Order: sequence, then C-alpha cells, then structure tokens
Amino acid sequence: MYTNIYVDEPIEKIHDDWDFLTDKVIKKMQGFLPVGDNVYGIRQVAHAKREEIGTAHQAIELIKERKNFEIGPKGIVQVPRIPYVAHITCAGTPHHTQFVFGYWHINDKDEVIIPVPGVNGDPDHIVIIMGRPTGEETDRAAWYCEECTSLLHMSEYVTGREGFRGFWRWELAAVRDYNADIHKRTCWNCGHVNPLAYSGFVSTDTPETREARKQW
Amino acid sequence: MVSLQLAQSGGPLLSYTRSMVEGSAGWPLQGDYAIWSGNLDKNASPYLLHELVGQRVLPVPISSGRAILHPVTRGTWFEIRHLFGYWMRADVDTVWLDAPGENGRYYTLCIGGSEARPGEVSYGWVCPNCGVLFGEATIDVAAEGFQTFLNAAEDGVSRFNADDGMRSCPQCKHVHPLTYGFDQTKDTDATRQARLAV
Repeated sequence: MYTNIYVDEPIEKIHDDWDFLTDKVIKKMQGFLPVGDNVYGIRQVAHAKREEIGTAHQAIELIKERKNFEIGPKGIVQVPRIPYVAHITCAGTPHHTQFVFGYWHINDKDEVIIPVPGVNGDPDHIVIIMGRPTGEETDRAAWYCEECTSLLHMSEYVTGREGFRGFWRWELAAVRDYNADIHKRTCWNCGHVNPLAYSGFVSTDTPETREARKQW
Repeated sequence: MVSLQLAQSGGPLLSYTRSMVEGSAGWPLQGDYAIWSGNLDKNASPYLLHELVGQRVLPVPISSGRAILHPVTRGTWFEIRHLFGYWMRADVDTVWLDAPGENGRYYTLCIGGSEARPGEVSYGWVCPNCGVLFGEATIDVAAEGFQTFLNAAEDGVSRFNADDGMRSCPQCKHVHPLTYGFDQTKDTDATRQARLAV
C-alpha cells in the first residue's frame, strides 16, 4: 500500500543499529546497554554443562540447565523460561539465575526477559529489556540465607543518578565485599554459612568463586 | 520509584508472563510496560512494521533466518500492518520482536520504559499517495490507562471508515482505503478485507 512512498535509502542509512539481534549489536549488549528509554541485554545460551562453565568464551554465560528464582511472601519460587514467552519480573522482586550471577538482583524497574529460540541451528538467545533508571532509582545486590531466607546483606547502587557506566564496577565490588567477610555470609538467624557470591562476568572469577558459580 | 503491583490474590505481584504462543488477550498495560504478543501461521502474510520518516515510509525488514529486535524511538509514527490499520505515536520507546519458528512467526510489541509513560499516545493515518499524516488525535493515557487509547483508536477507525471526507488526504485529495482496528473481533467483512490486503 505504501510501496510508492517507501524511503529510497536502505534502513542502515536511517538507523545505524536497527536490529539489536545482529552479531555486531549483540556484542555491545553482552552486559547492559542503555538505548533511549530502556536498557538492553542480550545473552546467548551456551550448550555447555555446569562443569564446563568458563569454556564458552562469553562474557556472561547462560547454560541450558540454569534455573531462575524469585523471592516473595511465600519464600523462594522457581520461575520458568519458556521459548517465545516473555517473563516480566516486576520492580522490587528479588531474582536470581543459577550459575549466572551470584546474588539476588533487586531493581526499581520491571525487567522483561524473552527467550528467543534459534532456528536453523542458530543459538538460543535471551533478550532482556528494562526501563532506564532515573533519579533515585536503584539497583541492589542482596543475599538471603539459602536455608531460612533471612536477609544477610545488601549493597545498593543508585543507577538513576550514577548511570549504568559504573554498574558492573559496583557489582563486582559488592561481590568482593560480601565474600571478604564470613560474618556477612553467616546467617544471623540459623547460623548457616552461605556460599560465596560471584559476578555476572565469568572472567572475574577466582578459583573459589568459580566453584561457587557451579554450586548456586 | 517502585510502585507496588498487586496480584489477583491481593499479595505483591512478583512477575507475570506474555506468551507469543498463546497470544495475549488485548494489549494490557501492567507496571512499566504495555505488551502485546502473538503469532502468525507460516502461510499468513507477516506483520510489517512501518515507520514514518518525513513524508516517506520506512519498511523495517521482516525476520528471515533469524529473529529481529527493532526499537521504535519515542515520537516516531509507526504502524504494524495487518495488526492495526492506523499509525500510532507514543511518548516512550517501543520494542518490536519478530522471531521465526517452526510453525510460523512469533511477535512481541512492547511499549514503555520510562516512569509514568506512556502518558500520551496518538493515532492517525498516512496518505498512501503523498505520505502526509492526517486525522491525528492524541489521547492522554496517564490518568485513564493505555486501554483508553485503544478504545479511542477503535472509535476513530469507525468514524474514518464511515466518512469519505475524513479519508480524503488534505494535501493531495487521495481517498485512503478502508482501514481496521487492533481488535480483530470487531472486524466487519469490509475491515477484514482491509486487514488482509497487502
């Protein structure tokens, strides 16, 4: 219907990165990249097994056998990742993905997570879209006791004010701070000593945090 | 700031889903996003995302061997051909996912990201002859919710289709063909034909 008035130029001339699922753009979104009103992250799902974490040569590794959890009034619940089904984690919900980041992430924005299966032998991807934090909106890394779900420790980063540029630096510092003090990992309620934390970036692992990554 | 979302049980809503396989009922706004999701059989004409650039139309390529994820920048007029027959513009970004699968194509259309947005959403029509935008109306959805936009656009479609004068381009006088709304259950034979037209 509009073919007579189509623009003459190819879309690349109008929008530099018009498709976020090209290899070029995916590389920019291995962490999180703010674009316009949203922040995007794109993760390739690795076929590696848990024991092989660190061999996929990806900054953030998602292995197929991972499970996803959220914490609510009824405690820890497992939430599925179903192909072609967007899962929206509401702002304020603590969520954790096994083997991917070793803390409970709590943000002030809803997070849309979409599993996109690969076709013709291409890898599966997870697309993450979340609102761009502004003002005093904050990201938090929290740790809860794996035995009794008591809150052990929490670190905050005011992403709205500080910007996403410092997000991963804060995240790694929060992980190291938690790991440096066994009292933080020891539950004040039941006495259980919880496993070490680990960053989203596999390359930051020490031998000890790599073992923790394979554990939870 | 976090605003507490409540589940039907009355407790806090931790999370929810929008399935492209089952298709969403309507285009509901929940929390930060209004998300529509759906799919098309592999034999159906795929949805086409068009953006308005000046008085020209930019077709966003459809997925072929792999999925595409395209952001529509806030303030850009766009349409999804075969899904709704009007052009729309929001004051917040929109994300379009077009993913191929074994049985067809799977889609997500997601509007939102900024606090209290979408606040204003507009609909209108683009003349297929000269590319001028006309008949636009802006709906304040901040207070009444995103559904007020969908309802207003459906009413706008009905008025547009009922009046040749409204469908006449103010610039070149070309008469815009009949069009269709987002809600397929409201299609008449004529609007169904319009929806299927290439």
